[in-house]
Amino acid sequence: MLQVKQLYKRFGGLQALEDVSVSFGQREFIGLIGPNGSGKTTLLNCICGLYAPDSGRIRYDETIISGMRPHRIFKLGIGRTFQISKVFNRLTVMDNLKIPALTEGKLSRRLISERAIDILKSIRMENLRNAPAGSLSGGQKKLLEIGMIMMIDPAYLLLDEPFGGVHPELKSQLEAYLSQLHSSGKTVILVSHEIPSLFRLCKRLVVLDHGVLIMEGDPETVRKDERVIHAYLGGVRET
Amino acid sequence: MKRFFLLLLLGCSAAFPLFFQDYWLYVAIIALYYAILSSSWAMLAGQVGIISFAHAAFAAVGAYTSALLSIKLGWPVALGIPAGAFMAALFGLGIGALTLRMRGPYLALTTLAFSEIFRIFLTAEYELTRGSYGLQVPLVWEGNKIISYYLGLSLLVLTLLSLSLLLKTRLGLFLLAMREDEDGAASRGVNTVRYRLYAFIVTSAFAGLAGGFYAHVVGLVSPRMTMISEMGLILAMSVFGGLETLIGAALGAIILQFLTEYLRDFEQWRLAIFGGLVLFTLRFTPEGILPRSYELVHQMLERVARK
Repeated sequence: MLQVKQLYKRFGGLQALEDVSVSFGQREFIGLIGPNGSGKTTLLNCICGLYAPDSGRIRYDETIISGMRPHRIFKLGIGRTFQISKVFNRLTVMDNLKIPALTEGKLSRRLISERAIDILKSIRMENLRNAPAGSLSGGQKKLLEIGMIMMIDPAYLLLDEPFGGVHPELKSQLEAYLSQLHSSGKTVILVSHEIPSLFRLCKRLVVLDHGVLIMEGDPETVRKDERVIHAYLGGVRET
Repeated sequence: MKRFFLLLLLGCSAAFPLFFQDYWLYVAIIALYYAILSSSWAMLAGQVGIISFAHAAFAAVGAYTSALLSIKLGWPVALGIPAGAFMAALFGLGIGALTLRMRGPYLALTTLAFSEIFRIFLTAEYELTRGSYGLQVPLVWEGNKIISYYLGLSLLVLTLLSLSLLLKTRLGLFLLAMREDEDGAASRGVNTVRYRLYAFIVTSAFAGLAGGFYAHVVGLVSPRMTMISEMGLILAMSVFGGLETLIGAALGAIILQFLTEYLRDFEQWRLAIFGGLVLFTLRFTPEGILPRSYELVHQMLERVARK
């Protein structure tokens, strides 16, 4: 269980997160939505350790992870992808995949290569294994990023805009892959503006607006909620 | 083609003392000192992304350690030089542990501050270091230039081979990933502070190795070794040769060292010419002369093959 409790994060004059409390249970498929600048990516950055929250707590099972460094959070089993893909452009696809597994130091190089090839097969990029990651398309980079975190078989996947700028054909491949990961027992937290995809994949949506959690529930309830409609269509938030 | 080019370079370097003696051989020995410094600095800046201004100071740590061990305790040069490298690695560990959580200009400024503090220490501690007069150091093989030259060449080959092999290990892969995207690497399990520290320690050790070598071939170590102008020279040599290739940086050091000597006739204008050349390189081949030379030779060979 991943629990966020009374989380605050401020950047200068901007309150990016304000009293955010939310839980992400095991084997859930959750959508994290909200207008631009609502704090979705900041929340992911706090969870994965890139930002230290100003106050509040993030707990993963029995461990307090708020303020912990990113590599340690990753090793606990929380993998993260980025809105603008952070693949290592000048390294090959295979080397990109090997890095997360090599940091673990548990597997032999042969086993790591075997696992990387299995992942490449599942994301249908086997023929690109020796290509520099910089030569991949935007969609392929998004798939590679997910492949990279899958190398350590994490329990939680935090995916920031995985469908952004992705070709429709690749998007359906990506959706199928995410469904497959969820079926295999992973918890997926998906930040996206792709409402149709979110409605197809997620059982629960969490809505942020101006750094405040305004609503959570099943997609149908969220779609009809006045506060959510107001947040997306504009206007001043009621306090 | 790269291998052929490297073998040709090594062959020419090995044959150098057959054709040049005395003054130009001495210039080559000093060029080898700068080549070790530039290639190890290029590893740090070009491969890891750490801009340190303490590299010349680490060379001075190695030089003074080796000098003091041989003067005060009578250690042979063969032990003094590695001891200097070890001491520079220890300093690298200390400075790195303090500074490597910082990024960008903060890290650069802190290393610059260390470098200045160390220079002031060397100048002020007269009883130990003879201050700005410097220490007279026993020479390698009683000052035999040919032996000094081959020792320098061996140390340069050792530096380039070790650092190149290091880049092919697990640590090397992490360093390359961190250079590409530090947050990305950290989010995939790479302990970025630890591996930056490892790289800092290793490159500091090679700077110390170069310093130890310098002490015993020049016969004098002084606080001038840590001056900011020395650091500027190392930086210019690395950029001129190619920051992202270790051999390129070494080659840049050798070419610029010879050029500086060749331009002595121009007196005060030589530094202006030197600076202009570096600016010219940055403007037209920002990746350095070695990668550009590879390209030109490759294009030339293709043209010949077409004819």
